[in-house]
Amino acid sequence: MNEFDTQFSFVDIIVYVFYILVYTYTIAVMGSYLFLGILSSIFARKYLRKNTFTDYLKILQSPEAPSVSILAPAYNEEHSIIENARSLLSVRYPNYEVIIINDGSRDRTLVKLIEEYEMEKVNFAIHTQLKTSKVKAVYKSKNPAHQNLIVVDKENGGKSDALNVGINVSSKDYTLNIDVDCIMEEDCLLKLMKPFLEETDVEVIATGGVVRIANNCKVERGRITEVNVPNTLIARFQTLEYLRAFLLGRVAWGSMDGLLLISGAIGVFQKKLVIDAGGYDVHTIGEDMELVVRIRRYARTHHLKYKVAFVPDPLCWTEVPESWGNLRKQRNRWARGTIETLLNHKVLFLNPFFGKIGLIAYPYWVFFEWLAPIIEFIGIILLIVFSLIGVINAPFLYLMIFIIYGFTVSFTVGTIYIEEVTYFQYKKRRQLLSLMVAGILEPILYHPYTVFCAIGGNWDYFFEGKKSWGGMKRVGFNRPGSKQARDEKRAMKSV
Amino acid sequence: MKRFFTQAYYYFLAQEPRYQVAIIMVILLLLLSVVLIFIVLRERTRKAFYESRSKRLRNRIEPIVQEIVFGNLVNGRLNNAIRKLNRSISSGNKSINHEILNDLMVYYHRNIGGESAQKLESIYRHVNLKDERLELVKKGDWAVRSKAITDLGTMNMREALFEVLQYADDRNEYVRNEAQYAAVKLGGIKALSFLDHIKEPISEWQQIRLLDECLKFEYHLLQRIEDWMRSDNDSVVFFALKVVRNANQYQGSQTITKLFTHKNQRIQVKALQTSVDLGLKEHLAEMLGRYQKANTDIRVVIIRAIGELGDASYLPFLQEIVEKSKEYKEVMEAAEALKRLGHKSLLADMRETLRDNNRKIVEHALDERI
Repeated sequence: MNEFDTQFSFVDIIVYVFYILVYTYTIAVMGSYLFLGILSSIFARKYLRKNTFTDYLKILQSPEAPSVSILAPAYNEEHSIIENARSLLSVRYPNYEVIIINDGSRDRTLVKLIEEYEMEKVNFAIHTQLKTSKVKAVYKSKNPAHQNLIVVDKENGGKSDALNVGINVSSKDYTLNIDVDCIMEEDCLLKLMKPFLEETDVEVIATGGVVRIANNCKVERGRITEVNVPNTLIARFQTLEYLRAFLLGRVAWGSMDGLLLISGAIGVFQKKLVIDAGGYDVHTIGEDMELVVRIRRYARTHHLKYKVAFVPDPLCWTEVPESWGNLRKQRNRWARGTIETLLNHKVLFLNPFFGKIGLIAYPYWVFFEWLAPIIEFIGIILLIVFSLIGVINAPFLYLMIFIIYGFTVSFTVGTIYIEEVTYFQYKKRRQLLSLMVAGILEPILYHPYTVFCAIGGNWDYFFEGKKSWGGMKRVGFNRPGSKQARDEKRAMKSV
Repeated sequence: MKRFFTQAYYYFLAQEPRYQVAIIMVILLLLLSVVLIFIVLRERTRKAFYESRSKRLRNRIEPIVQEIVFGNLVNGRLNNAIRKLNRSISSGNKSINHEILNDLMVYYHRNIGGESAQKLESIYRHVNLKDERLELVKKGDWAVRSKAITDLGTMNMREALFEVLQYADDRNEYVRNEAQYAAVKLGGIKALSFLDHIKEPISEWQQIRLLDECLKFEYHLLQRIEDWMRSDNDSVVFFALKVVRNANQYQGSQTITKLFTHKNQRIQVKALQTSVDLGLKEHLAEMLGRYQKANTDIRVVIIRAIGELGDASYLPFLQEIVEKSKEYKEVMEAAEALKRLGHKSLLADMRETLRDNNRKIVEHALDERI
């Protein structure tokens, strides 16, 4: 062996670095998932044991129950609005109002509501605490049975704008912000409000709940009466994805008070804090995540002892896309929303002032939610290139792929197990087996597609300039010189 | 087959260490997947087995319990029935059987009252379930202890009150909450004595539960309410105010005024609201004295108080707010107050002279449909 043979070539070094990066990242991802999985199973078990003592009837009968406004933005929902409104009006809670915000629908959404619920225009003076598009009129029902229903008609401005109008109109202390087409569990508000009443050491500023998939479920009078596994494979894959995201991910982050996202489908917020923090950002795509991150920043900046809680019970059911095209659009949007929120709040990144959020949750989102598909994509490209030039160690690589596949399948089956021993929604053995089969196929058939969609989202955001629904240039919450930015600077200095 | 495994083993040994680790991981993960699938299916079978077993036992003991509770059994037949019940739960896994019987009796007790409930309580003692629960209260983790305390409370085991009260300030919040609740169930309002010295805060949720239970008892027993309003524990003060408000307790009215200046602003607001709800007119002057320096939340309650308890002498004050205040809530509350005091026409007349925002608020207040 001569001296030349022991030298590493440039390509060798590149391949070596590639290996190190891939293995480190893979281990970090698997390790974090494992950690979250363990944490969420502990928390879910504790939650269920704790809840055996809960009698929700007490709050239902109590004159001391906190007041809540249900805010439901509606845009071109003429086919389902009546049924949805009925479902909202039959929520079990003692002290609440329903505010449906017609966001400039072009169909008969408003007319249908007016006819069905005998609504009439009233002289409603709106307390404009958040700037919004113009409100055309506010309606109340002539029928005393629907006394707690308010319909607001406004110019089109998007979901965030509609929610901001709802907050301005609301007369209650908390707001339940929902997607009007979601099917809520009857007792969802009771469950979502409980964390606000339970905490004594810290103030709960928001709560979120588990969203489940309604495709192929039996719905009667606006309620889920029979839970089924979706018929199509694509929806089954998403069922598993939601199970993992909510049962493992969010439950675990909730237990660590590290939640950065409360699903836009269902979430309760302390109204005063949302107003103080500036309400929903109307220029963003991912308004749900943006609001949570912003109110957390606000609370931390103002030295509030606060918490964002999560209720692991299934509270809300939603339909997921059953076509690959619609799925791509949705995931593209989610990816852009995530990037936008993360970039707008980049001050959080590894910032000790923000505690767990700055040091753990935000970096996790950057590395394992935003960058994960990019890293995966680059990894695959490099793999192909290295294979073509013949520098890859093929057998070892195959083994690594098997390890990742094995981990993914084990993780999915683990999630199904947690669902089985906790909430037990899929009662038939056949449903269970079909989910397991989907779990075996998912890493091969579904996951690469979601990576592709997320890459598309990144591309659209950075190269096509698709940064928001309306293509408006974002002014942003943290623009230099803004009040929030000044407050934060001051707060960080004082620490 | 043996040859295959031997060859595979030698192949494995011939590999570099990093390959060996990777191969082991692949095998372990595949095994883990299979084991997990097996566990999920087994869990379902176990659940089904446990459910059918519970159902069987339930079917066996339910008629006996019903016979004892609802049947008119005299001594001899009653003893026979209890012996039969004891025999039923002695066979098989004793602890599971006792748990099933316990849950069944707790369920029945929640849904019945009077003599039948007393009979149920008597069997509960006879089959030693009470003593078992008392044992569990002392040992086990928080969930077991909390459940045992809840069961004792639901089953009305009054003799366990002293035992239960010892946990009313327990460090574990679930044990503490269940103990406080069970104590009130067992001892009535007198059991609220734990409020005199409790150090841990009482959550809003727990306050709602305790309040619900308190309102079932004779209010005149609420003698220590003024002491609670002076407590260093803010949650006790808050709870006391809720009791005063919901049970219309006037004896603490003098103490309420002192809370108008409490260091906790939420207590200030609650005290003001309580005064309004109790109709304590004599507090109005004191409230008004605080108006100028108060923030909007407190001002709104004071204006509401004037609307509820005031008279014509307060009209200029309310008019000034409607005309000059820039706070939506203050203007709205003042307009509502004027309406409540019977001066709707005055409000209507004022409309034209007001600036745009305040005029809209007044129109809102005048609109009876809202």
